[in-house]
Amino acid sequence: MTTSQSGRVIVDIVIFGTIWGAIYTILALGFTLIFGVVRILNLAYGAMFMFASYLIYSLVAGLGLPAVPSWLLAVGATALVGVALYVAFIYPLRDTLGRVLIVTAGIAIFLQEVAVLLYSTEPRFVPTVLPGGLSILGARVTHQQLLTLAVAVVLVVMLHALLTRTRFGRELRAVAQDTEMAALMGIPVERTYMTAMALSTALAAAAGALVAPFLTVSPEMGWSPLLVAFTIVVLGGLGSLWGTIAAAFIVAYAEMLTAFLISPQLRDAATFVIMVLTLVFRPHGLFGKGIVE
Amino acid sequence: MLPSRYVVLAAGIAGLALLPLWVTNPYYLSVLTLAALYAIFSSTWDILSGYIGQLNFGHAVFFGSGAYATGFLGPHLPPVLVFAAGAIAAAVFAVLVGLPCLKLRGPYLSLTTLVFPLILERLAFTFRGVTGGEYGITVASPLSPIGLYYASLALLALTLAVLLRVANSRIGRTFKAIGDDDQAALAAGVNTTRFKLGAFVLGAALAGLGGVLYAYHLRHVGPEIFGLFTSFSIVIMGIVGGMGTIIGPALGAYFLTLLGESLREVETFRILIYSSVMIICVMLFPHGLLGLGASLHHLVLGLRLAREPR
Amino acid sequence: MTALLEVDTITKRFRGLTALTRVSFEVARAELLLVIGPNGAGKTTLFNVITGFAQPDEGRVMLDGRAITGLNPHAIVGRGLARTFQIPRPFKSLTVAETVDIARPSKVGTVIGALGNSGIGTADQVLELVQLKQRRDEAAGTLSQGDLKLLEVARALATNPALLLLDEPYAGLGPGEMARLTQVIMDLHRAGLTLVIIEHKLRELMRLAQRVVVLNYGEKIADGSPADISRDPRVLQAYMSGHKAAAHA
Repeated sequence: MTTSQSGRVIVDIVIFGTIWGAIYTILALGFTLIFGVVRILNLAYGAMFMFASYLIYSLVAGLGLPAVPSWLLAVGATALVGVALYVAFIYPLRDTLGRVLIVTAGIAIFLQEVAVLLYSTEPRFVPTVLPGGLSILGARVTHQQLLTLAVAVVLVVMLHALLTRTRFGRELRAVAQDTEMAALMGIPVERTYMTAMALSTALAAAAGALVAPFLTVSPEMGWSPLLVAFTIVVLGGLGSLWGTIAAAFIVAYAEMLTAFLISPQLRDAATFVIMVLTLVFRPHGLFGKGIVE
Repeated sequence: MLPSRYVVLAAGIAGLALLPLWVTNPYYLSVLTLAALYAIFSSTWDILSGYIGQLNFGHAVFFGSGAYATGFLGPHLPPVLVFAAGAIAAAVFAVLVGLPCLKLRGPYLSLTTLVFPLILERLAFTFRGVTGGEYGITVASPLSPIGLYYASLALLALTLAVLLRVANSRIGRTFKAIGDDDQAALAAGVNTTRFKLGAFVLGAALAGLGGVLYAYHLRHVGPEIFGLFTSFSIVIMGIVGGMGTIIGPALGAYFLTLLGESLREVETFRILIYSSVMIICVMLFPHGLLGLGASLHHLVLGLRLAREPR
Repeated sequence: MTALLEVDTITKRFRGLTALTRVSFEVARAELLLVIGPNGAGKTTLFNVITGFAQPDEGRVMLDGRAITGLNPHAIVGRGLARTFQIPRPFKSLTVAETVDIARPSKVGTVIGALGNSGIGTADQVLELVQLKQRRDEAAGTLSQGDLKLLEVARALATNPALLLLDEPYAGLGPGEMARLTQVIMDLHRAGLTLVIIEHKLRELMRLAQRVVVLNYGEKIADGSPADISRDPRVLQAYMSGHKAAAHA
């Protein structure tokens, strides 16, 4: 490789790592809401990501609706689906984590197959909102990708404000810390769970909708986001915003390094390896705010 | 006097062994062979997940490594050694997967086991020079279809006999104790790590042997064996049949494989139905078919259900 | 003669809270030691550290002159130290007899010797000792609270310990069950087993104990004979006011 070529690769890695880092932060925050607040592992989380992506595809490419309303509609609809799934399938099994794992896995597979039946396994393309792109230090970045980054940052800031400055945010954090205490203080725990579920799904949906225009949409696209989100939560520690952001960027850069320098097909294998190594060697995460007993 | 469960098992195997006298259609025979193989995979899964309570979502690593061993070594070694290689490969992976997983519990364990086959799948896709990439490796079978049927049945019989023997021994009861309460087992002086690793290796080695036959049966091995759906299928079969009973998951495997094949015409809906069955089962019938059978049995005889069937 | 158990300046911290502060004491062979203190004093945490279920931040634990700090719980059981849990943890899939059967006996303990036999039949002998033999084939999950606590003791005994730690064995028992338990403890004590018991119901055990250690807010505030402890003003103050007892010279 010539110097300018390797230079370009480095720029690619940095830029795309940044964009993916932002998206992964959203995914991880959504996952944290479920894992940390409701304290269940929702294997259908990735399916919500996939569901939203297909919804955006149908609305924009299928019905020709404009981007912003489609986006909002997709996120809202997916959030509702998430709450419905919680009420119908997860809530009854809440006490046995193993059964929740299995039922959410079943839901994820079911939704994936529905996507296959409705859309076939051919990847779909969602038209971009902002055509064209520009060149940053020699790497080609589309306007869509920059928009994605901007929206992701805004979302994270909004979420942070929601969690720290609103009463709802305080209730959420109280329930996450100590459910019994929160109930004693009069906080409606079940309703908080449902709202956490809605918010969590909305974040997965937001990530899915953001990603749809520059990835292709395919039925099995939900599994990697799920596993990436879990890895980030383990690595960065539950409940720590900066820990999550840091971990999200670490994972994103690791993936980009693997994709560009070794092989694009091994990209998520990098994340899986990080997950296993973290759980084995540093179960409390990089920053010690552990979740593993 | 042998315990009744062995008698029932022997009768079932004998029945299956006599089946080819009536069922001569090679397609049906192939389906039954597949069912026997899945029964091996799901019953070996059960000793890990149902007994020791480590809900394993990545059992495919074990029979998949057996299958790929067959793909790599089949042309170079006599079948006996291929079988040995399959079992050894699976056992090695059992240690590789087991050691990191042993410290983990619950969802962490399950997700970690989920991820191992996916790593192997990605590796299989990437290093296509060795593994044939997404096209996989063609495998020549040293056995005829009827030979494969009986070999699978024999391996199933062996697997069930070994697993049942272990399950009903002090070791098996220790497995159950660990599954019920890991800390209490430690307090009783049980080296839980050694037992968990032992269960992993036992289940894996038998599954690895099954993987060899699987590769012979399909005459092919490819990355899809490490895919999510393969791993989930085993879990579904175990749940539908009844976890923690060894025989339950084997029954679940037969039930779902035959159900799946009978829905061949509606191939597109097959996975949909599988996943719906999985959801319905875990919500309404947590003890699976076997639990259902036991409940009906006791209901009919008017006896109180003293404890779970073994 | 060296003490059987030596707890040496054990300190344990949890997320900013100090559960145990420099706790030290010894247990002599064949002694019955009572550990008391108000709720939250750290008694169960102490047991967890001694038995390997928790690691101390400072200090060490010696069993029969050898350090056991940092060993896995099952290894400590193998050295002859067994425990029960405050809230019984039965194996719901097993019967009473099976529960006792899967316990791994240590080679150094005194129970099996005291029972006059070894190996075969020991499970039933242990069950007979705690008067659970008639329930041997019942599922462990179906027992009454009192029987569950006795099963905890039986399981611990089946590991053939030289030293037995009982965590609030009397909690939740009716008078008949309490009498049974007292009989069992007396029998074991008479047979030479060393016992350390955490308890609140003091009358039964104050008669039997040789020594009492008192914990409050994670510190040892008293260590002496039952008579001395009952008169110790610091102990009375700790229980009555709930305030931290004044440090003693």
